[in-house]
Amino acid sequence: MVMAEHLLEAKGLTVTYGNGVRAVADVDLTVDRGEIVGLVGESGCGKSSLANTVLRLVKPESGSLLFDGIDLLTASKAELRAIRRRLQVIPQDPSTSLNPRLTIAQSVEFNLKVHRWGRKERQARVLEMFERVGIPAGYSNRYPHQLSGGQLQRVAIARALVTDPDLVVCDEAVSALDKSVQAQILNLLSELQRDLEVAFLFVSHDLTVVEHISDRVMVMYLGRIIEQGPASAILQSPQHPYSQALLASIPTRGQARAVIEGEPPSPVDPPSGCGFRTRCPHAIEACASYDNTPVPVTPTHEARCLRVKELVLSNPQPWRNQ
Amino acid sequence: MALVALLLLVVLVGPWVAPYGETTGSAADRLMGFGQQGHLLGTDGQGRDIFSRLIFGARLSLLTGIIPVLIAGTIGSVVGLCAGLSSRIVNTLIMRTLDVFYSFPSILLAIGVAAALGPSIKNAIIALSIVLIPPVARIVEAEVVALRSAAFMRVAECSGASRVAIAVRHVVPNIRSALVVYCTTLIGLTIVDAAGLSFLGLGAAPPTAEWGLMLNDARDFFFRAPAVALAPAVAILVVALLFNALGDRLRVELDVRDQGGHS
Repeated sequence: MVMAEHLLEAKGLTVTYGNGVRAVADVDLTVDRGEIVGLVGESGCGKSSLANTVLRLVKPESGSLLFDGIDLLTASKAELRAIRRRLQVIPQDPSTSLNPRLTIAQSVEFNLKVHRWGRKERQARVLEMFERVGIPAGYSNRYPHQLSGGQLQRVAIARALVTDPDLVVCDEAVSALDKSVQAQILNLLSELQRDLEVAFLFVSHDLTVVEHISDRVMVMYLGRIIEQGPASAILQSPQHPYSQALLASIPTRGQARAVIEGEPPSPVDPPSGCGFRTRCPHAIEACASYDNTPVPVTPTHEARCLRVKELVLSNPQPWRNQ
Repeated sequence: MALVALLLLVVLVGPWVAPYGETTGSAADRLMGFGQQGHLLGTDGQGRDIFSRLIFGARLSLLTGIIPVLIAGTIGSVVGLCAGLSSRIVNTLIMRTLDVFYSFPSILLAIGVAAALGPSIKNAIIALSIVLIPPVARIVEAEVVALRSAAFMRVAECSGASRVAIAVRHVVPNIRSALVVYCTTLIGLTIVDAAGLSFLGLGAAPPTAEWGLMLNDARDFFFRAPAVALAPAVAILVVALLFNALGDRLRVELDVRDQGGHS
């Protein structure tokens, strides 16, 4: 079998909802085998819509979406079903992500049942996964309300990984958890990712979480990927004014945090040109007619900002320490 | 609970313990008052023992109360599930069609259907089933739609499972208790409606003992002997209230949060 170059390859994805909201605008996205890609942005920026599109829960208006070379948008039901085994999801809220009427073992088993595993194999596999994620075998017949949030998230992870997928979409997978539990779950995820060689598309509004785990980071604003590059590059020298602002808004000891002024514009009627220009301190007239062509910063790092080159020279981190 | 059990006991063993036969009576014993000559609740216009007829009638009244609910519960659930899990257009189509039926007063619709089919117990049951399908389907549909936004439903969709598999494994267990509670309260209502149909001559035919029919018989002597009408009327009322109470009790017992708490 010829392997496609990228595990997941999306080009020009655009999602518009019936009410006119353009949630995702012309997004190119690639995820390679065994890679962790972080997708960050504030709430409402379209990152969940993008995640749902990748999961084929939302139909994009235009664009292409290839999973291991297979077109997800034109795949037949049977093809899609086969792909779904290799494409799983870990949702945000552990309290509703498991069916309250099923035992946790039944919930995990369901994913195998769909793909016609025999009963014996299913049960053995579920126990194996529980052990991997640190759920005691004796918990199998418990119901979700008998477990803590962290334990529930471990079960959700077991459920996603039980079919041995190639790509897991983690949609705010740790956002609902306490900070200490969050760290445990993140460590578990990195550990499992290394052992199982699975790729993650890690969606979060929390940069510190993404920083922890990702190889590559994409920053999303108003439906567009406004900056992408290696995690270290984005976090140490963000180029787009929005990424800089997002980083600066993380509270650090002894410093007042910088706040981005104003509200994001309405995705029903987005501003022309650069979407961030209405809140950007560096915006000039030309930003209104910017065609959103990415500007390369390094070969692997690009930003969608007209002035990125001059801004780097004049003021490397305008939002820091204000 | 205990009272419902008692009621079922009456239905099961009633024919053997009833002091008199279902249709036996003599003209000489007509319209006796309570307790006269061993007739606990007196006799009706044809001298038949009312207490015995109540016991025999319980079987039929419960049957006409429960069977339509079972039929409508099954069909209504399937319809509601389909509507709740399908696209918006199909959902609208199904639900608006049901609304047409729902907009008639239930007893009026039952009378219409029963009259069209002709008077018999079987037809009364069919009529009541048709009347009950829309409300059951609406309840189920509302529950399913509320459930669709739950994260586990999204995961189930992502798993590649068929809609039927998702419905059976993930939806039904979550709506079951609401459905059982609702259907239980419907039984009470249906017993009243069924008695109403028989009263109007669209259900059981004389001389069968049926509570609604007994009320109709009593109508002829209402001014001379109002007590004759009292017993079946009270029986209908009490049984209807009983099932309502049972429904409320089940609502508490089957609360989602308690589920599996002891397992």
